[in-house]
Amino acid sequence: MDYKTLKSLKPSEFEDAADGYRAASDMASAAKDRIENQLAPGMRSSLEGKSLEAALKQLKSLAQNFHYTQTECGLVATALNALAHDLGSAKRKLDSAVSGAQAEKFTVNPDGSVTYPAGGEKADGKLPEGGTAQGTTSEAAADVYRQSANFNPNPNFGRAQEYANRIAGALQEATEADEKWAPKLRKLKADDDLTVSHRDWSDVQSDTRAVGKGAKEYLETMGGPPKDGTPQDNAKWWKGLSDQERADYAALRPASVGALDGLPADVRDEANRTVLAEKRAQFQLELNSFPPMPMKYQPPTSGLTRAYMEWTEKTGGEDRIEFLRNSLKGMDAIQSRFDRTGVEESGPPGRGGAAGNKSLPPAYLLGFDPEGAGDGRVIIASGNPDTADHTAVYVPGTKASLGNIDGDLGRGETLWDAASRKVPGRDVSTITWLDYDTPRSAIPIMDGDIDPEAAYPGRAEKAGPTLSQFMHGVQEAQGGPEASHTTLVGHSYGSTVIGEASKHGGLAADDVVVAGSPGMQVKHADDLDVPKGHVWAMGAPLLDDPVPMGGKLVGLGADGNVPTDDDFGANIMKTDSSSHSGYWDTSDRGPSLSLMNQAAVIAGQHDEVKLD
Amino acid sequence: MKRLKGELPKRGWKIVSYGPDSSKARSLELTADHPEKKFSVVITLQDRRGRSEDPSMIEVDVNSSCFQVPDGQSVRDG
Repeated sequence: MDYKTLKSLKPSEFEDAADGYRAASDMASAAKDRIENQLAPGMRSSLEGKSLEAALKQLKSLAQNFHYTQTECGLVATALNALAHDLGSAKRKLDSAVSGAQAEKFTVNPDGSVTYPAGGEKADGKLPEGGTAQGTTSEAAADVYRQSANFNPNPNFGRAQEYANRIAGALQEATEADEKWAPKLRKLKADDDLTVSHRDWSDVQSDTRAVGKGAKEYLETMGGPPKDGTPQDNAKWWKGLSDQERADYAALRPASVGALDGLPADVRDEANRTVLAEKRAQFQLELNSFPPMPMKYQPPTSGLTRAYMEWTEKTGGEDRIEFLRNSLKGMDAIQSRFDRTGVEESGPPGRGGAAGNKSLPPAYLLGFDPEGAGDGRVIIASGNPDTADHTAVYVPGTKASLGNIDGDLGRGETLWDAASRKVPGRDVSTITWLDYDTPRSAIPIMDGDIDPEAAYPGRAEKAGPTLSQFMHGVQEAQGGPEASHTTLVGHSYGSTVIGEASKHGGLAADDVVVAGSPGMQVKHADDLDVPKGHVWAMGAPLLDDPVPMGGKLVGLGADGNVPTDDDFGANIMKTDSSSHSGYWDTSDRGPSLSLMNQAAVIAGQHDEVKLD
Repeated sequence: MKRLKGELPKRGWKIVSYGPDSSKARSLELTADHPEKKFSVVITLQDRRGRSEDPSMIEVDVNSSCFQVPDGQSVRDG
C-alpha cells in the first residue's frame, strides 16, 4: 500500500460492495423463506404421491442452496465492512497527518516523505536549510530522529519527521489490513458444483471463524451484548445497532445472537438455523470419518485393550459416537418440524390432534445447541410468538433431550392445534422449551434408578433462572406484559422447573398449567408468579400416574403439597390420561379431555375448562 | 343443540348424555354413540356471549374405533 493508493482510496467503495453482497444475501434468504414457508407447505397440503416427493426433494435442495448463499454472502458483506473499517481508520490517520503537514506549508511527496523549508534562526546571515524527512515506523529509528532534531537548528525538521512517521504508520496499518483481508476474501468462494455438501457447511464454519478473527476491531465498534444483561438490556443494545451492524454481527456470531433473550423471534430463528446447518454438517462429517473402534476387551483378562483406551482418548470413543448419533437424530426431528409447516395437523393416534383443517404455521428455532445444559438446547415455536395473541410455553420433564425431542415437539404442535381450534380468529404460538439438564429417571426402578434423579430439586433449581430469563425475553420481544396472553405448561419435573423459575426471576406469564406434577417447590398456588386463580393442575389417578405422589414423598412440593392436592389451591382440571405421559394423547375411544382443558386455558377461555 | 338431540337418533346415533358439562360455564354438552359404525361424538355449545370477546362456537369431537382393512380389500370397499 503506497501513499498514492491510500490517498485516493475510498473505503466507502468497499462498503458499497458490501451492500451489494448484503442485498444478495437478503434475496437468498427471502427465496429460502418463500420455499420453506409457502411453496413447499402449499404443495404438501394439496398434492400427494411420488412426484410430490420428488418435487419436494428438489425444492429442499434449492432451499439449501439459498441458505448457503445467504450465509456466505453475509460473510462476504461482513468481511468487506470490516475491511472498510480497518482501511478507513488508516486513511483517517493519513489524512490527518497530511493536512497537518500541509497546514505548516510542508510538502508531502509521492513516496510519503515530507519536504520542509528552510527555517529557524539565522546563523552567519543564512537561514538553516530545509530538507526532506523520510518516515519510519521503527520506534528505534524514530528515537534517533528525535534526538537529532534536538541538534538541528531548523525546527521544521523535527515536526516534518513526526508527520512523515505518522504517514508511514498509516501506510503500514493499511498494508496490514490489506494483507489480512485479501486471503480471507479469496477464500470466500464457493466450489463450482450445485450441491451444498456437508463439507461446504463445514467450510462456512471456518470461514465465519476466519472473518470473525479479522473483524475483531470492527466488531468492537458495535460493542457486544451487555455482559449479564437482562432481556431488556439485550433488546436495547440490538435496537441501537444499524441494520448493517445487526446483519454483520449476526453473520459472525450466530450462536450468541440465537441465544440472546430479548431479541426478536425471526432474528434468533435465522441465526439458529445457520448454527443447525453448520452443526449437522460438522457432526455428520465427524461420524462418517470416525476411526473404527478397535477390539475392546483382550481375553483372557477382563480389562480394556490399550488400543481401545487410546482410541477413546483420541476420538472421544463410544460416548462421542452416541452423542453424535443422538444429536443428529434430534436435528432430523427439528428438520422434520420445518418440513411439516403447512401440513394439516392430523396424524396417527397420540401424535396429532383430531383431524381438521388447521395447517401448521412456520416454525421459529429460538434456541439450538447440541450440548446446551447437558441434554441439548432446543427451543422451537409454532407460530411467531412476537405477534401472537396467545402464547404457550411447554416445559418437558424427565428424560427430555435433543436426541428424543421428537415427542416433545409433537406435544407443542398438538397444543397449537387444540388451542387454535378454540379461538379460530386469533394468532397462537406454542413453544417447546428444552434448555436444562433433565433428570433421567422419575419412577423408581422402572426408569432404571432405584433412587430417581427427579427426586432431587437440584436440576430444577439450576434451570429455574434460565426459564425465567427466557420468559422475560419472549415478553420483551412481544412488547411488554400486556402484549400477549401467556401460559406456561409444565409436565412432570418441568413443573418443578416452573416453580423454581417463579421463585427466582418470575414467570412473565398469565396462567400456569401443570400435568403429573411431583411438586413445584411452593406450598400454595398463590405463591406462584401468576394472578390468583390462574394455576391449573391435572393428574391421573394414583395407580395410573404415581409421579405426583412420589414427588410428595420426596419433598418436591413444599410442606408436602403437590399441585393436585386440594390444599394447594389450584384449579383441578379433569383428565382422561391413563398414564404419566398421556396428557397430550388423543384417545381413540373418546375425545381428549386433557388436551382440550389445556387448550382452553391457553386460548384464554378459562370458563370452558372441565373441572374435577 | 335441541335439533341435534332430536335428529341424531334418526341417523343411527344413540344419545348418551345431554346437559351442562363440568366447566364453570356449564356449557351444554351432548354425547352420542353410533353403535353400527362405531363412532362416538361429543358436541359442546360454547356460548361465549358475556364471558369472552371471541365468537361463540359449537365444538365437535368425533372419534372412531380403530379398523383394519382385511387382506385383499381396499379402504374404499363398503
